[in-house]
Amino acid sequence: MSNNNLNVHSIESFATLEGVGIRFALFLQGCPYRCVYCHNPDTWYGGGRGSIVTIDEVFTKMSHYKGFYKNGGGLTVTGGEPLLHASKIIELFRRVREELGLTNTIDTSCAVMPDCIDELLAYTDLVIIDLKFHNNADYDKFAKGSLDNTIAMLDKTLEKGVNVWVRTVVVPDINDTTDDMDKYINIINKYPHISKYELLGYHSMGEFKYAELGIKYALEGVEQLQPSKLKALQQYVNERRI
Amino acid sequence: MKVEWNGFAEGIWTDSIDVAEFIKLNYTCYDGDASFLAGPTKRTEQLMAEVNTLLLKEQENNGVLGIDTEKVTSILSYKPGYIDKDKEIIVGLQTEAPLVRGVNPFGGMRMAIKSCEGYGMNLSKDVINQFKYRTTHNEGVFMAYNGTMRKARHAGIITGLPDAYGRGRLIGDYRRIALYGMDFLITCKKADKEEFGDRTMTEENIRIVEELSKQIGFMEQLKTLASWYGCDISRPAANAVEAVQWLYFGYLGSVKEQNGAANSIGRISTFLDIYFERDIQAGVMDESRAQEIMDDFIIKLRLVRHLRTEEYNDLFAGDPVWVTMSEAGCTAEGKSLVTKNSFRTLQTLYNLGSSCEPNITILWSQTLPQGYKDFCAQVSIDTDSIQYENDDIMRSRFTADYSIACCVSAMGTGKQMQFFGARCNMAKVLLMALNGGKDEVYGEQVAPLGDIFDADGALDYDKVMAAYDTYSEWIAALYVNTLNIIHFMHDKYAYERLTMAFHDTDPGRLMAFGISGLSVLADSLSAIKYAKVTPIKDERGLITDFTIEGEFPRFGNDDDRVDMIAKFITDDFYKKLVKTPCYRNAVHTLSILTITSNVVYGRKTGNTPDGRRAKEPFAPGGNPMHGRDINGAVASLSSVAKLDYDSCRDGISNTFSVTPHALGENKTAQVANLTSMLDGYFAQNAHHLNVNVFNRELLVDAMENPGKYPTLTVRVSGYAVNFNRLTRDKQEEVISRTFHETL
Repeated sequence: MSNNNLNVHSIESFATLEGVGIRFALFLQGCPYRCVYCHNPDTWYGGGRGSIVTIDEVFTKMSHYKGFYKNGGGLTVTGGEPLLHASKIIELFRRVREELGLTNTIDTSCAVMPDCIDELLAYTDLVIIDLKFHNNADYDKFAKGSLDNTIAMLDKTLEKGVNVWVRTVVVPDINDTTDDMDKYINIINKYPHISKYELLGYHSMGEFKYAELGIKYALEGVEQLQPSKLKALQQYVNERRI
Repeated sequence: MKVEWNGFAEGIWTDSIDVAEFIKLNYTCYDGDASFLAGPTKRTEQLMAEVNTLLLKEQENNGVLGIDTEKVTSILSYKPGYIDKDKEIIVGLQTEAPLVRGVNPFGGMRMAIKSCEGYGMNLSKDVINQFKYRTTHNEGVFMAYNGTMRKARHAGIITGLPDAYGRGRLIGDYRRIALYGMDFLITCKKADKEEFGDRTMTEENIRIVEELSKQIGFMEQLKTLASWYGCDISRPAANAVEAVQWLYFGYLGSVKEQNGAANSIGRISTFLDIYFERDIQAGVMDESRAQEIMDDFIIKLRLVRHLRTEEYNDLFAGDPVWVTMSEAGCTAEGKSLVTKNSFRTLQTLYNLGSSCEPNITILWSQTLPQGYKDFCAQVSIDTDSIQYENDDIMRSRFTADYSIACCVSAMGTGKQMQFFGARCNMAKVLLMALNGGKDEVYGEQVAPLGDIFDADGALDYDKVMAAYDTYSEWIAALYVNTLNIIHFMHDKYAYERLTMAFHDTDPGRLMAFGISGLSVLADSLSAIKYAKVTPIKDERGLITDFTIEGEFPRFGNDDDRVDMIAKFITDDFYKKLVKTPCYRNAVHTLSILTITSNVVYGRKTGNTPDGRRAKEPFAPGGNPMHGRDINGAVASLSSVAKLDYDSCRDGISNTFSVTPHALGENKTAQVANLTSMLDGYFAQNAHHLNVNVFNRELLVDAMENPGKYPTLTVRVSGYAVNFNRLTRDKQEEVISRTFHETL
């Protein structure tokens, strides 16, 4: 693939939950993690899937939409794992910031730590970090990933002084106890640059995609997290944040 | 200076009619937030409770509470009526009791009889006999229609024409009554009559003089009506209550006289604010009282009703009357016209509960104060009752003091009028072009005979476009000629004597054409161009289906390959319309607006090359087809924004539905995102947006359990309706629309 091409799963031109204001969310193809609750399994695989979009094309579209994003909005790269495409994102972020005057957000699981991370973060206004589990064992069991990678990214963003939001998906019977919450908070409280910690309730709305892809859905039969329980847990962690 | 004008800055307006200048010299711009507003008074709550009881009864009674079958509606046909006399501040009802409908046979006696029968009632013999020896508008039109016009109407290629109901879409400048009093207005019209009476008596001049004579007679009648309610409107209004009341009498007289679709009330809030401010400054009124007067006035506007036929209700579902109120906007110099009263109008949706009428239309400008933009967004999120139109593109084209009639039709207030013209089914034009002028449903030869396309291979884009060019040229001319007949006869047999009295003499005239099925046609042409579309013929030898192989770009994804086709369709059709002159030298305009006729048109149209199945509804107005805009709302809005307003000066309607969650994580974020979105959309020179913020599940539940949602309001296509008043097929169409949502 040429240096200007991105492997794009989809575009959401009106994203409001992926950072500040209205955002252009670019869902990039490919992810090394295999989270059991993932609602976008169709973004897992790289080459051959998704469509090829050049950086110029993304930039041109965003210039056209600039008027919508002026209220703190801008570009969010997500996926998939956007950091797999870090070197290409740098160029896009640079142009979005310098030529359009809009903000840049990375929504990541921290599955990889790219070599060019310092340069990328220099053009980044906000990193949304998905803190999945509070220990390496669960990370491996439920996501084929590791907590260490996430900690490394928290350290890196702290070092570079980039604003960070952290999110955790709460799944019934996996990480939904107050004991779990205490452990998450222990991690969060070590990082003063985290401006928001938000819990998201597990839902099964992505389940149909597994059937389409012929992949077995590990959480079959697990109910969505009750909104009342989510609210209580969010309040619990809010009270314990420093 | 008249004594009633005490405290007002003088100008040209003091000597001749110029409401816009009066406003400019006297209004107080407000750039704060909504915190000053007052809730409902006890009186308002009690009166509204009585009204809600009546509305519920109306709904239980098949949508019509009662019909006065003994009289013909006119200004003085009914004795004064009240909801609850002691509790009312602003008075006047269309008939003698609230929600009881009058009968208006001027448009056509058959329709009046059918309307009554539709609700199990019979029109009195006296009324029928009164009209035995007079020609109605409907009869006049059908005397002049030729065979092709009748066939085109039957095939549903041009339908919904105002040949069996009042044309409406007129806005009297009712503010003039409050500012000048009726005597001055009558004096001006009499002077005009003398002046036109001295000119060469051409047919047009004679018509104008006759019309002035009719106007003056009805202006006198309006004074009498007001006197029955104890008001002397011969003089100007002396305070805020009188200003509202005088203005309302003008509107009331208009809707008593005629039942035209969408007679709107104009741009009145900022005008009225001048009177409220004067009274508040003088210490004779506080905010609570000012709000109470507006609340009472809006209650009256919510009670306006017309008696309609079943066919009419099918096209314009939910019993709308389009008491469209135009709010905010800017002066010609670009200064905000937002006043405290612009907020009070919106506040009625909280004080009285959400409602589809009046049809509150925000004239959005990038430069409106943020406090007002935020309040509008909040009201949209809470009530789904308001719509937005781009003041920054309209005020230079219609003079700054314009108003919206119906949904999206702009016209200079009191300076211009419109000849409403329903719409042409563009998807059917394409199918007719493929079938050599035959209608694909009935098989009838409607358009001139041409070749039917071969079914032994894929359609060739250039050949299809050549045929489309021929047939769209044909329908454009037929359409203009048909409307010319309709409006000639409407002026002749059902002239709006009172409404036109509140227009300048010999106003500017616009003839408003319309198209439906824009996104179906654009996607169909895109499919023919970018995919492989092979026709399938039926046993009659007509093309009635298609196989589609391969991908093609769809309107609503900000993809120029198809968006430019959509733009071409509108620009091209407008150019073709202009080739045939309009009655009374009216200026051609075009709208992309369907009301709910997108369902009816879809029902009358066969399979289309974009994959839409026969009978399936079209998307409303300028909307992309349901579910085909897959790159998010900004991309979808950006596609629609490419349609050129200069080809579509009667408006480009777009209806946007978003779930609360997708709009933002909390109310503050939702308000900020909605105002950003409106700024972004209108900065692209887009024209109109309906905003709905709710979950699809809510609508599904409301469809099954209407009793749970008595006041659920949804914006459909340029107007709002009570969801319960839609028929099942229209409810399903609303639910099937693209909802911008997020997982």
